[in-house]
Amino acid sequence: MKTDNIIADSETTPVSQIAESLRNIRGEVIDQSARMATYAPTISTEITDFATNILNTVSKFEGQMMSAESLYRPLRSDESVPSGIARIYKVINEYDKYLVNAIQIYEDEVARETEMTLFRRMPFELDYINIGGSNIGEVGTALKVALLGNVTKPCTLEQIIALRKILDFIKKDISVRETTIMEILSILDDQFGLAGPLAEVDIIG
Amino acid sequence: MFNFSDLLLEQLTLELRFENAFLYIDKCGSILRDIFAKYPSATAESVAVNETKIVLPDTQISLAFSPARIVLNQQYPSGISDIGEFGDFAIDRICKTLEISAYTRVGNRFIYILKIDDEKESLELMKNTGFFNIPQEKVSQMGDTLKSANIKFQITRDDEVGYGISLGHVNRTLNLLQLPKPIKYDASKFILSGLAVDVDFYTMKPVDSGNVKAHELIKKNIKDMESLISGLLK
Repeated sequence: MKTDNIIADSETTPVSQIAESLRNIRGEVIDQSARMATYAPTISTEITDFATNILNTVSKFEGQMMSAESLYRPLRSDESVPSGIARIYKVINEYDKYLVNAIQIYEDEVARETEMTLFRRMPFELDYINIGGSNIGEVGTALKVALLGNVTKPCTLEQIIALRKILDFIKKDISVRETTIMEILSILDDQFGLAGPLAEVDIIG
Repeated sequence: MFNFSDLLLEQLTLELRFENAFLYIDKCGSILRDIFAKYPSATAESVAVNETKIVLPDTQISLAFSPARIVLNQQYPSGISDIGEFGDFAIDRICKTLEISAYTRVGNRFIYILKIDDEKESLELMKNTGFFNIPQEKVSQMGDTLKSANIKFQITRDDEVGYGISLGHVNRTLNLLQLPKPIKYDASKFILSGLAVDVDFYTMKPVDSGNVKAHELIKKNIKDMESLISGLLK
């Protein structure tokens, strides 16, 4: 009888591992599709659609996980001051729409850049939300450096997808643990460069 | 007439359940060292293979953790900042050290008591909920006085979160002999007879551990308690 229990336990995958796997799948899909879209610009729309379908499927599995929005939703819907976490979630959802629009109308450069200009306000809004023990402030600063450092150049599809990926990371980990912030900084550095003016400095020379 | 401010919060508990955090066996001491470095007044009540419990004597906050759960508790909290700040720090250390990425259940329990000497008054308040109604003729079939009435139910929302609610009149005695020593116990707040209101907020789906901030969650739930309990008992 005891042996049965041991076998049953060992066959059960812990929820934490499933959550981690789904996060990794999501990250990989966004990464690879962005890369493929850059390599094959003629079929970028098809690649984006394909990636969206996979992400929708992943979301169905993620539906088994509870979102921060549900956890912090107050009983009274007329609550005038929602918790910091609920506010972060709201800001992210709101600004994510600009990124979605920018991807959908990517070929129309003027419209796309208008959407991206609207998106650039997001890190400044995050400044007004404070939750103790969270690294969200650091994410805001990194986003400001990344976005303002590239304000004179049009955004690439890969950059916009990277920004969506970052918002996705924050939604899954509002407190932005060290592992998450390292991933975010790595993405921002890859796509936008976080060195600022120092990037032009030739250290060796 | 019921007034929420008359309720005394006797106990506040935040319980986080998770699976297979077996790094506990290897790293329990490291967690304790981190917590004691930030909270020097903390004392280890028990350190064992199955569970470790530490206490902050000044604020009556206790924290127990094991490979399966973390339980943060405070008796008679005067506010939520102490437990919130300690909880955020300690839970973050435990999660990071034990590599916990998701909780299978998050529970936040509030036990209030309203001082009422006469059980009949408690019964009248419980009738206000609308969940409790035993007509006098049914009582009189068996006797004349209804005693030890309790209401206990759960309400869920979108299959995501639930509220377990329990109401009942309590008569009790303060038995100081049962409390651990050395003891510093303020018995002035102890209510011998009253209506106990026990509300347990819990999640029904797993939650990413990064999304649980003790202070924020308790702050949100304690706000909810006022509207929930007032709505029930008024």
